[in-house]
Amino acid sequence: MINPTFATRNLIRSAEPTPSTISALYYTNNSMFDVILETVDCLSLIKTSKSHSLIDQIEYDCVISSDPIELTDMVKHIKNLHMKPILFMHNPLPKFFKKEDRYLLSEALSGTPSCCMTMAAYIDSLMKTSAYIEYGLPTFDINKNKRKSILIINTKKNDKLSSIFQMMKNIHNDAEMITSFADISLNDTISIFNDYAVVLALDNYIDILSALSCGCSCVTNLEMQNYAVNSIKDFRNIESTLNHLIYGYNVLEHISVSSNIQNNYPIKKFQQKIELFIKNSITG
Amino acid sequence: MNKLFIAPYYQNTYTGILSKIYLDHILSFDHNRNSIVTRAYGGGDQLISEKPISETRTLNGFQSLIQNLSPNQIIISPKFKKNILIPNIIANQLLSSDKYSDKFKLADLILVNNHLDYQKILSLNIAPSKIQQFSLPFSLTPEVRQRKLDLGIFNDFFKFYFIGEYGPNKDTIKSTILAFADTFKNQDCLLVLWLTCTASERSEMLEFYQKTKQSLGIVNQLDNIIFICRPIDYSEISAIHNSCDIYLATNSDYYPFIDEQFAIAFDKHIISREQITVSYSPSVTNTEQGEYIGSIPIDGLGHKMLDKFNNRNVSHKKHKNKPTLYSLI
Repeated sequence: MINPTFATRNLIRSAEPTPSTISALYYTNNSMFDVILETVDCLSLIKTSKSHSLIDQIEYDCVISSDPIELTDMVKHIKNLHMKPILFMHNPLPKFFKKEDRYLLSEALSGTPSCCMTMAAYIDSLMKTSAYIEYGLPTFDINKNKRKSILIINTKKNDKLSSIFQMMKNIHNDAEMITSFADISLNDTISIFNDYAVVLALDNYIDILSALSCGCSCVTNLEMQNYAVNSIKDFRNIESTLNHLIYGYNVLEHISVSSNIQNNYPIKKFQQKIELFIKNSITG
Repeated sequence: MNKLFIAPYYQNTYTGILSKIYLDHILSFDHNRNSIVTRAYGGGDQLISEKPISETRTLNGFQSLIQNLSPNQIIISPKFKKNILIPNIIANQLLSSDKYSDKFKLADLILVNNHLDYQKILSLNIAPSKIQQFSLPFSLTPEVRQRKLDLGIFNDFFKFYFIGEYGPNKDTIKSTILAFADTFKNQDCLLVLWLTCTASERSEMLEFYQKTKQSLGIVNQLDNIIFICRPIDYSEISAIHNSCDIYLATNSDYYPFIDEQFAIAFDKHIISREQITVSYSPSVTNTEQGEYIGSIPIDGLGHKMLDKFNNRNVSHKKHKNKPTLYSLI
């Protein structure tokens, strides 16, 4: 049960001049977005997930979520506790969402500041006043001697991905699988990605973008505008596809993509825009 | 902009209505100084449709934190030079334990609008110098003064009125019906009972009233008790106080103080619980003539009502003025 003084403390905080450090309760997206968001200087993120209860010992300026459905369930509660809800949209809504569902979501979230992180999400945005800010990635030299074969990103605990990992592990001893981005710094993540020739990732655009910026050959089911990736619709022939990419990997083919991404997604610009967006959101 | 006022002034509850009254009062006095920043506690937007400007401001300094909240929601903030509490006391919260007494002890000033709250806080070993009573600030604008209930043919009758919840006041209400029906058999008098009750409770009361009339032999007399059975709205509070004559402050629930204060603001006569005996519980006996409703508490409430009615043209003692809320913060 939440301490009734929690709402009072949040209210007092909301009356203070905009703090230099914004305290945000952050419902993790379990993607590289968690890692890059943490690099925004003015943000102090208290990370949580659905399974964890609200930490009511700290005052928050806002609550950040990347899941509109999850946020819809919480938005009234968040407002009653006097915190500002903020939504980050990474993907369009699932195709099975009907018009009525979209309407109900947008009604429930009306007045909630939202920011789309991809053009696809922006075009499909629920809110008329959504901001659009592109992801940001650091600049670094890619590892030209990839030491390891394949990295599988399975943050949604997909059984099929787990079995693909087992299958690949039997062939490539150095195959790895990431199931969480919690407690990993941006530098650590980049150095992990940088070691691999091939990355298999579903679900998150930013994960693929990060892998591409590290010069990896990427396999995904997402539509990646502007960047060549190996698209899959299902997992048929996945083993041969992955092995073909691993054995045929040539770093020289990936250098220009990597540098393009590093130039097109500057992290400084991302950090400045996010800071401005969040400050406007909590004072608006 | 160095004082922060936190209160549930959006909520259409008794505490919300009180908070709204405090807010209006504070802002009307602070208009030229702009030293107040306000924040509404809790959700709801029934009382105010537009955010007051004070809610969009932020603090320039940390002079006073004024909390009009329940004791469990209150915090003592060391950031502010002065912590002022206007506690929304729900009787049991304080009576059951002294777990909030530390907050009261740490506060710099505790403001209450009634003597009962004053006594309760004093009983927590709080220094009397820290507790101050204030008069409930009403801004009785011409618009508020014009609000009236339309009671049809009863508009010109002399009216007693009671506001409250049926459950905790069941015996009081029945005693009042009995006393009124017996005392005012042939006079142009009306009793308005504005109650929060269920449909079955309403039927129970109507049946009780008809049985009372039967036992008093006045079955053919015009029904001169009006039952309004729904929660009272903010705009209706002033209308009922404005339209009626004698306020029956006999509610045993905890929030009638606001009604008493409204009655004072409208300069109405008041019959308070302390002035009468209303512990009577009606009993029903079956006789050959039908049901007979037991002894009538005429010596208490009925006498007092009659006395007030007979002296209706005599001006009563003016209610004593206490300091206003704004002067204390």
